[in-house]
Amino acid sequence: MNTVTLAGVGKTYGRTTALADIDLALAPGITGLLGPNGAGKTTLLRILATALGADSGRVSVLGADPTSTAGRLAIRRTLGYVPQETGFPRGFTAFGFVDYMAILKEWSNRDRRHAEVRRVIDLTGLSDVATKRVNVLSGGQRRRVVLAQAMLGQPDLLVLDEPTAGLDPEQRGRLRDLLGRAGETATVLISTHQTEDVAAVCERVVVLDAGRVLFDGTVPDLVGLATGRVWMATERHSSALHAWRTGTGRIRNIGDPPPDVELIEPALEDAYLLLVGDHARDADLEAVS
Amino acid sequence: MSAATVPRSSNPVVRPLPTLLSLARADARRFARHPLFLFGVGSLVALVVASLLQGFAGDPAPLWPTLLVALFLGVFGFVVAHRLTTSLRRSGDLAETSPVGQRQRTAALCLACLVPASAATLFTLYMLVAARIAPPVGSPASAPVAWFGDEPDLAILAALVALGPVAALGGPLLGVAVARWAPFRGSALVGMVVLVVGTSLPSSAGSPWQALPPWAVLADEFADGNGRVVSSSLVDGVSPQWYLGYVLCLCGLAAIAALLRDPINRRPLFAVGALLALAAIGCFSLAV
Repeated sequence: MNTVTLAGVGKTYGRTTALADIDLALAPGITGLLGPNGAGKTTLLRILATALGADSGRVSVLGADPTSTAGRLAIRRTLGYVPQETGFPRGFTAFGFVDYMAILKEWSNRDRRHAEVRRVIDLTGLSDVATKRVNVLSGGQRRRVVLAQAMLGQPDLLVLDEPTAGLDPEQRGRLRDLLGRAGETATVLISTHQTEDVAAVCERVVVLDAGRVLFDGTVPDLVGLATGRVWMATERHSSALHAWRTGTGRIRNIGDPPPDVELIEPALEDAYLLLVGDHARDADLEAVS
Repeated sequence: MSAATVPRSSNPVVRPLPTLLSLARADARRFARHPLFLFGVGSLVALVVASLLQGFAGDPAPLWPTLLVALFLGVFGFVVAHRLTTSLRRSGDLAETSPVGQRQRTAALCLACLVPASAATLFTLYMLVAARIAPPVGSPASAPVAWFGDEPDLAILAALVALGPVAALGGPLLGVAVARWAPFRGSALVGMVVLVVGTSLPSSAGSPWQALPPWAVLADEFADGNGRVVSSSLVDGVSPQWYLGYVLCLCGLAAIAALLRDPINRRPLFAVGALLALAAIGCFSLAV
């Protein structure tokens, strides 16, 4: 059953189209949102988080309409949101900030609230720094503070804009575990540039480019698009959309392979690069013609 | 991050008033811990300590201490309230996407402005108690009448409350309103300058508009030949009780102005604001 639906959703900033006629339906589980910078990922997430209104189309989140006051309130009560960039008011400790956010999420009973704050602080591995001021924490720890407030009350919808930015590999591993557990019951939408995170935890992936959905399907389906289009060679090939020297000293080429090359298993990143690269090339050709 | 199984922990039934009070308590703590507020309170405490060390033998004029209350708690409180109001903007969309709306957050901040008002009340009480224990030199000797000659106690109390605690409430409330309507960084400084200049502008003695700036026009001081203040009196023709009502209405209008920033369902606020404006005009007319 779909918990989030977008039908013909559009959003423009002046002359710039951020989203163009987006149709999307999400069910409980983890969906990864990939796309180059400026693809419209953050705009889409902000619309779902009720921080921004769509210019056109219909949005339904957990059965509520975000264009109405009551609908926005209903969505916000079941939402956990990690914005792309978050600053912190001065003077807050990690615990104090999450506690303040818990009040803003209507946890008025002090004992219950503190128990919940301790739970999410523990979940995000911040127990050791809970009493430290946020402004002395590392970037990764601050990111986890934002993540902790999003986990308050076990929201039915988690909207996470680059949640793994600044996290070390161990923390990313634990975050994957955390998101995997959340995705068992909640609808989780993760925007990220880390394709390995998407491959690791997402059962579904959506690729956006220039405000349009380029791909919507499972991770294996997306990877399948690159089958037969990734090869190793001793040199960069002219037909490759992307090519780079690997640690072995050989060149990994992605694109349309020449005959008799050593094809290898593609990764999600290869497929993503091919998809976006092909789209850009098609757009260029269309513009020329 | 813990790998422990996550229990469901959904929030219990939501009631608006407890949420507002919880938020107001949290904002009050933030206000009370703000360095500028602590500096203001510390300065007043230093005054109290100096007064105690001198055996209450300080300046008999009440105008100067109330002026300091207005400065340290009213003007500084304006800046503190402005900073607290704009501080959540750093958090990007987090506050805006929370279920507690802007109006409720503003109301909580307005309630938190009771913190400086309480501190000012305590300081004013200290002034009264100190004057009772050690009446200032002057005539007559009974305190606090000594400050004001033969003025009735109730009028003097109303004047002191209007000049001290209400100034310490009004400044921060205005800070919340300015921050809501002009949430850019420099508006605190601009607002503070306007507040100080606007409330300090001299007006011609005897004019009813002399009492319009909302503080420090109620008392005149009289000095002896050496420039030492020997007594104070209420400004001729001004009723402190009605004046207290006037400045309280201004506080209410500042709070209404802050709450009106949220565009949803403004009609009741406009109605209350209109009533307060009428009451302010009425009180001012009766005061002068």
